[in-house]
Amino acid sequence: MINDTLARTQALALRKPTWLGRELIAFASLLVLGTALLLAQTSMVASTGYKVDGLEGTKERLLRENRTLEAEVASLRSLSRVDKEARERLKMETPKSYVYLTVDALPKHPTPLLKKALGQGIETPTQATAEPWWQPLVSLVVRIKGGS
Amino acid sequence: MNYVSVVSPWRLVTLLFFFAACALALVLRLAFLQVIQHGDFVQRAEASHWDQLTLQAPRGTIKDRDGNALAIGITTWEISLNPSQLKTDKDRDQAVSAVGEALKMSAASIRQKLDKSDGKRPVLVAEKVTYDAGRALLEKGVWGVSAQERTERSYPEGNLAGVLLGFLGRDGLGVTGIEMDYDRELAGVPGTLVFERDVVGAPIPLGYRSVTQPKDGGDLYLTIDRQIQRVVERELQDAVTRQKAEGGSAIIMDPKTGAILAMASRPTFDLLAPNLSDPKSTELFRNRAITDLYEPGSTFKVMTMSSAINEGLVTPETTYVDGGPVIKYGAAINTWDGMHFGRESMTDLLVHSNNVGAVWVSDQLGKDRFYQYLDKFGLGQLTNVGLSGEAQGQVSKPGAENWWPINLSTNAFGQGLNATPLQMITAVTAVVNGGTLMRPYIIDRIETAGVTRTFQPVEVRRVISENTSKQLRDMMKTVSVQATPLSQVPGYNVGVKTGTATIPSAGGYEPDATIASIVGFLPYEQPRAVILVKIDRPKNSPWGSQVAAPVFSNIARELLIYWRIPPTEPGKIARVESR
Repeated sequence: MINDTLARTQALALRKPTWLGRELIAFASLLVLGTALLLAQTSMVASTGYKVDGLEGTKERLLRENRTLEAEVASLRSLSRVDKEARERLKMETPKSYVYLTVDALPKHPTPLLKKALGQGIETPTQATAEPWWQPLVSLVVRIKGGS
Repeated sequence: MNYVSVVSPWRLVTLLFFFAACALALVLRLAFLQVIQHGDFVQRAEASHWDQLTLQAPRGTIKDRDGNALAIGITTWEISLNPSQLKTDKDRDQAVSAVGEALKMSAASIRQKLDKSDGKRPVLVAEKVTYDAGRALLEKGVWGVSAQERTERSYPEGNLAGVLLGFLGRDGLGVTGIEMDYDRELAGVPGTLVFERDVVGAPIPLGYRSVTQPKDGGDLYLTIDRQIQRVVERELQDAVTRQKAEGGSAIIMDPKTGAILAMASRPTFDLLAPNLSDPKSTELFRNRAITDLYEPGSTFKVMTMSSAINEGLVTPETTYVDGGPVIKYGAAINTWDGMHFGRESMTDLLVHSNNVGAVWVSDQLGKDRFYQYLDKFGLGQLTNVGLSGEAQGQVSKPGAENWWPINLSTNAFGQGLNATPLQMITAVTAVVNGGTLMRPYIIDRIETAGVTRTFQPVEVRRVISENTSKQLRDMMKTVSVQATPLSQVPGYNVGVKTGTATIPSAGGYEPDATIASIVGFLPYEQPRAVILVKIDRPKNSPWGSQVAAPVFSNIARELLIYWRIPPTEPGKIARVESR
């Protein structure tokens, strides 16, 4: 009696799963996979959300820093600071007299300062300066990297 | 032997009823909570679930005409320690040490502040902490340290144009000056962030959020030039100090447009630390160039003369006889120095600043035409410069209760009426620029998020003809050369008229006090600036030609160099002691 029961149990255990069993396993696997995907996606979205929050915070911080820097630039450009720097560091003095020269024509070779005074800007060098020996190599590397 | 346990039925029934009653109570309670109090709980749930933050809009910058910042908004921190969180000595030591190290403060001073606290409310240990320093401290995440962000104003040029700019209150709103008058444009519109919050109040990353972005405040570009403003403030302060005067005002205006290039008044206050608690200090906040009225004195003769010339009643060469004091309605009107010149021209009248002559001119005009011209010059009217607190001025006219016939005579030389320095310079600008009254303005443009609102010059009306204007410029040049040598600029031609006005008091005029002033333009050939200087109650000398004229000359010289205007007579340029 006992032997029969054992034999039947072993036979059941060794028997291949039926079609219903396979479906159930597949369904369960899909369910697990789907849940895992959903979890992964949710986790990614949450993580991205935190990153976005962080970046927004960084943006705000940078904007504030930008304004602080603007204030710093303005204070460095202030008249009192420029005056102080000119007098103390560069040892400059306010001119005691002014000489005005009336001229009929510009000199042949006007100085950059004169050009600037006439609103023509600083003279740019007309002759190309010689390239350093390594410049062609750098250009070559840049061209290769750029794919051209 | 078997025993059968018999349970009493009443005990079972009692138990049943007890459980049923409990179940019923629960059901009723649930119904009460979920049905009757549904709305309330939904509201409470939402209140704890949702949160809202105000996103502050950065305040706009106030700049000069070339875009140099005069007042700029920066973020600072207020650092506090929370005694309720710092219960152990270890926490306390850590917080004190971290704050002291980050803010370069002594631990003793921080402890002193903590000891004075009631132990419950946060203790403010430092304010106006720079953004970087505060941020670095916060990133350490020290227990018991909290920080509140604040927007402060930074003034790169220090106190320059302080009265004009004004300052902000602790609430970030403008209290005086341009900060107050243009608060709406500068402040921007705060935004809001509505979000689902987690247990600690932070936004849930995947939760609902709705953002209304703040609109940044606009940048205000003034017509002020910081270089010119600096020169004007320096010269005005020097004159007030030198003359031991009570105060003064100075304005520079572009005659073609009415743009104000500089506006200053003394005494003034410290823009970086305005004292709001002392009533005497609050007196300093007003912009005296537009709020304070004064009797302009002889500078007013420019208006009297231009009216008469424009009406064709006189020319610069027309003569009259100054035969001594003139009696008008029982009162004797004399010259300022008691001297009389016999027959003299209209130009000489201005050169001598002759009150008797001014009375003669006003008689030629008659009261109707005289006051019509005062109206045309905008006297007794607001200039609408765009700044609050502007005084209207008082000009009594025929028909008014406080007008007497003698007023026509006294008004002709600038007594018996009053005006603000801004009204006076605006009127003289019309005389100088070819005869058109311009509306003075001080805001050049407002830039807000890519939209620029520009303020254009406004011609109010034509007051006198081009020819009259030219004649007056010539006459004012002669005044500078012949009567006011201290107003001259070597190598250049300028035109001026000085004034020394007595100050009205109850029942008459103060015997010893005067207001010394000058109004003039430069250069004579093509006027680019009109300058008005007024010194209140100078002690060393009462006269405009001695007190205000040198200030005019110094400012004019600096302006001519700054604008690189070549001299008309280069040979006359002497070695000048510039500062």
